[in-house]
Amino acid sequence: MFERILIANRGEIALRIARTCRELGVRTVAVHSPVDARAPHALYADERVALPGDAPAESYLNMARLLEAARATGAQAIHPGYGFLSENGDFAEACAAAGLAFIGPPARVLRAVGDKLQARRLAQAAGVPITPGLLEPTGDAGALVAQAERLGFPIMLKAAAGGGGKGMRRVERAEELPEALARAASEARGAFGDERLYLEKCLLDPRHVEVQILADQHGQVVHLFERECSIQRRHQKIIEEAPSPGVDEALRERLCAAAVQVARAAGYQNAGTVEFLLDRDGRFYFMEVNARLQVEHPITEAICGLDLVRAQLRLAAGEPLGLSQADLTRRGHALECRLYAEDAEHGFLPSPGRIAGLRSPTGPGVRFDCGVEAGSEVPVHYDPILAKLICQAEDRPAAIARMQRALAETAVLGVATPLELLLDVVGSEPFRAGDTSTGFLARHFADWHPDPGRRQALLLGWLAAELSGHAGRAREAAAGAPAAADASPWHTLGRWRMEG
Amino acid sequence: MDVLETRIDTRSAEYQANRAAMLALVADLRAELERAHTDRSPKAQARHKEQGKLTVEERLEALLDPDAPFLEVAPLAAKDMYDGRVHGAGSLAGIGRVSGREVLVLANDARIKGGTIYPLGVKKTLRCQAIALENRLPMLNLVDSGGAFLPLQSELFPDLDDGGRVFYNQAQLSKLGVPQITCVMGLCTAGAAYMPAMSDHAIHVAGTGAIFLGGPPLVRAATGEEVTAEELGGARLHCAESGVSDYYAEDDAHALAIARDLVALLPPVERARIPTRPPAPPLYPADEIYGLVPRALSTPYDVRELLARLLDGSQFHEFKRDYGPTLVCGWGYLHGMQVGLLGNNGVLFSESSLKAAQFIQLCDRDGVPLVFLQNINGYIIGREYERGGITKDGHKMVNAVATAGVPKLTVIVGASFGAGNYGMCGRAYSPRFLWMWPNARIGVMGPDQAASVLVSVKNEQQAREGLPPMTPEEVAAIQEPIQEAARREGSAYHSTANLWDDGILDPARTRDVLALGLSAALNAPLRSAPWGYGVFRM
Amino acid sequence: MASRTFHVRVADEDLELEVLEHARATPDTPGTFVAAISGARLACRYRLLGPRDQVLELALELDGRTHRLLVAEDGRARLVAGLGASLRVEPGRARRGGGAGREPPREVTPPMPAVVVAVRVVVGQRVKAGEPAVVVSAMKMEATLAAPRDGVVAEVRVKVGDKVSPGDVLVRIDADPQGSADEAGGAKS
Repeated sequence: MFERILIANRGEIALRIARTCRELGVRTVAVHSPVDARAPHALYADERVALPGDAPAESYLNMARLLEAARATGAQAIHPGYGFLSENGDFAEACAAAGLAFIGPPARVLRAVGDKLQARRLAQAAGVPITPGLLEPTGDAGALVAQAERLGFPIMLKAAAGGGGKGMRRVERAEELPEALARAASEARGAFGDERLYLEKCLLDPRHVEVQILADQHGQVVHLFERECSIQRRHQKIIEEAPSPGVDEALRERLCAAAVQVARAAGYQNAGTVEFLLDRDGRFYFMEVNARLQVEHPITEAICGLDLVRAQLRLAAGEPLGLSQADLTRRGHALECRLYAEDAEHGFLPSPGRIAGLRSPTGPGVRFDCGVEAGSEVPVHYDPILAKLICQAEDRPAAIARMQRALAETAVLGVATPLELLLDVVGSEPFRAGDTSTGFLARHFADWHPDPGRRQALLLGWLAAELSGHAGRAREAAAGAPAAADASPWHTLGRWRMEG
Repeated sequence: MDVLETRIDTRSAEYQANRAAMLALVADLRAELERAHTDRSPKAQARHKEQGKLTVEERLEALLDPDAPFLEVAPLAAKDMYDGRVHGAGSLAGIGRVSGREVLVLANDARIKGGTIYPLGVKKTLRCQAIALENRLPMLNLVDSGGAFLPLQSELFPDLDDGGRVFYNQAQLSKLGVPQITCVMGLCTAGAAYMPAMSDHAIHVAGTGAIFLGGPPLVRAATGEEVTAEELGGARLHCAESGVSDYYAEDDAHALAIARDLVALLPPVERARIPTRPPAPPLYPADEIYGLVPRALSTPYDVRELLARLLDGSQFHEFKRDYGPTLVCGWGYLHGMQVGLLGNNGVLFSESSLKAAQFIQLCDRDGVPLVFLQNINGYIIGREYERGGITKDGHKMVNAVATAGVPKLTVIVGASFGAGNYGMCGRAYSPRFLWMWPNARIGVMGPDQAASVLVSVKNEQQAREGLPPMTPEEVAAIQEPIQEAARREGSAYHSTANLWDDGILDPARTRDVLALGLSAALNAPLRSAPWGYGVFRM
Repeated sequence: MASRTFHVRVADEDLELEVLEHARATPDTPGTFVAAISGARLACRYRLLGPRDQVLELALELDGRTHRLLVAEDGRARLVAGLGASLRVEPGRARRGGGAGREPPREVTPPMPAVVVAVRVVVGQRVKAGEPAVVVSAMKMEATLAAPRDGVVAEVRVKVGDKVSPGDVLVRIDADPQGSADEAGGAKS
């Protein structure tokens, strides 16, 4: 096991990784940009190294500085978290060259599955169904148009070189194709430096289902069942659950087996996720491999009773898996809601700012992975994920009730979050019925507005604070108590009246 | 510093009986205050609202800083006088906090007799101006008044301290640099028209505010001209044409917002510096005051028990404890501010008077404000004491009190009879503030003494004229009326109705009130006159 | 005491909250109050759980359920969160008019004796408040007199060269029967 590792990330995931390290007795090195200097993830680690600037390029994407930090602190491994450099083959290679263990798959695997088309070809060769579409990227508009006509609309244009919604376009009709091609190519060029696109047939309102994989360096591969991540907004997941309500045992076996096949074929190592689309008829199609620890990994941890980061560290250290597929069982049901600093009432505009107050939910079956605290600044430079709320229970209805309770107990003051929307989604009829698909939000919550009853209750709370005259004292106290000699009763007695 | 210990047994029958009696008095006080604040005719309420005006309470809310104290002045002025419904003598006044600083607010309540001004209303205004002047508190007048209450005009117009004095004082306040901001939120007629004119800033509410020396009825009577109040003296006229008003406000709320802004623009206060330390609450709950004060004024108790529940940390450094024990003097802190306290523990003797004079001089010289807790029947009488010079020793105390320059605050916590009232800084000795407790009594002497003196005098007269002494019936005939009158006229409510004090307090809130008053007093330079005394007759 | 009204602004909406009754909370007992919000009468109890750092926590009992809320100051506004939602409450302007908004004046009048040098509007023209109506000259200086309100020009009483005095009505503008002035119509240069 490593003695010291550097966590090349920030926020909730960096904190979560550091916690498991502490449990394992592994010393942690955090890195932080100037704006993150007092962030929880920076303060929690045993050591911290400052990065030169706030922009990602100068901080969490700054390979040279990250490697330098590892060298200077004597770290033996780097955990890249998710996003940032977690799927960057060059970085994995640079780590290896520097004698550092990269906690994730090796560079060649990253590159192989990182290329979406290569991954598709790999899956097909492994006998796993893939969504109909091109297997070769092209910059040739004519070829793309021809393929589109052959497949039939709607089709999905995707960038060959990367994901995250960039260079991605759904095209409904042939007339829209030329414009969409131009836009997608331009976006892809800007985001990845590579304007080549491919396309896939759009499935009709599919479920997004993915399978968690663990593989050691000795060829052993196991799966940890599936997760459903259909509740998405603009291709960004906001609610995930495990297991999927749309998958029965028979399908599960075939799906997970397919995932393992893909992983084996890719020579996968460490933790990863194989993503599929599940259509209305129960057919699944391979989409891509996410060669990293994913945001929603905690729900798998919940139903399998396993610490995935711990597994990652052990696997990266060369230890064998030590368990067989038969050893892995699942229990109960888990849900995750992502809390972003976004204003759900106003088009999900980012809501940076200072967190004035925070109340974390707790209680049985509740896990709150939070990267901020009261007083934290939510900067504008990075993905605005604040926290993940994970609830597990004996079955799906109980997990839903638990998530509702936990969401209602959560309070964030100072930045807007989609907390209320999440509450309404989780409590809605279609969600309870398990009738989830990627079109869920568009279909059921396109015109969502906050509940007036809740707003009324908050107004009453405001009135109570006003009437009690206490709120002003909190402000006085916060302003730093004035010098005792100047603590005039006109400023300390609050709303004092003769009659009491 | 010594911490006062308590010997009060809160479970004793005596304590419980005292507590019940005081709580009853406090309940009465609350009920009276509630009544004074809310008893308004529904017709008057409706009319007020119809005009789009805010009530006096709403105006105060909009004007004052939220979550800040308001120390009302004379809420029960004119209680049971006139027709019994001229509550607070027709106005709401007090010290509040606006834009972070203490100010004095005086607002007419137009729901009471149209806001007309009664004789005690003039007296209340004069008292408020005195408070503003002595404590250098900016004065905010919210005028909404139909002018003088004509049936009683002879009692509020001609004399030195009648209506005209209000404007004289305004000029003096202005000369001394005490800011005056007036919001014209209703009628501002005749004499009252001078209030905005003599202020530094006049804010005029459109539609309801009207300034004119003679209103439409008078104009009609004088020249036959028909004109509306708005045409004669409205906001547009006075803001744009005559220049009598300075700010045009669209409604009450707007006017008060302008007033707040004006206060925020005022130059910073140079607070008087007195010794301070971090505040700390007393060790014993204020609630215990209810039980430690005896039901009968004639029953003595140790005033130190009261001090223990008023002072920070119940700490008190007593001065000259063993000499003149019937007066307790010493230093303590109230909400962090150092004060010199004097409290009666019995009748005043020569020794206690001398001690008081010395103590007052010490505090005065060192710039420590004085707090007087009055519970005094008088100075000792009798041949031995007269020979000993009690009168000249009493004089020394009165001399010191009268000429001490530091802020003085007085609370009458029990009896206040005779010259004891003087030596212990009664109203005539210009304490910055004077309050009473609900059990307090005030008079030249107690009712029984007064009655027995009169009986004595009458009997002597009978004797001189060779007549027999009076019969019990004749005695009663003399005694009862005087006792009855003294009782009625000696009550705290009678005092507060006549504005002989600045309000009746719930004893448990004495500490806060003293601290608020003292802090407000520090808005003025510490000393009102150069340090010095008259000649002390030795 | 009588009812108190609070004026606040929440999510671009001005609201009036009226507190009809209130009994203050003490350390031992909850406070109670009855409030009228948007026509609904709501009774509730509250307990202050105390300030933690700069955030006040209180427990609000409404319809038999208890909710814990957090309240924090943010400049002049207050943030309230709980029940899975959050709200930003800003102070509103307490506007109380005796009736409808005041009518703006209708006439264009000169501030001093002057000579008309240009007339910029014609009868029937739709104008917006602030648009130039008449240009006058006095003391070797020109002044442009603007329309005091949105509306339709009802009368133009002067022409170039006329001598005018304060109090003279040069142009009268009536309220537009169709509502606010729009782009159509009017001789605009």
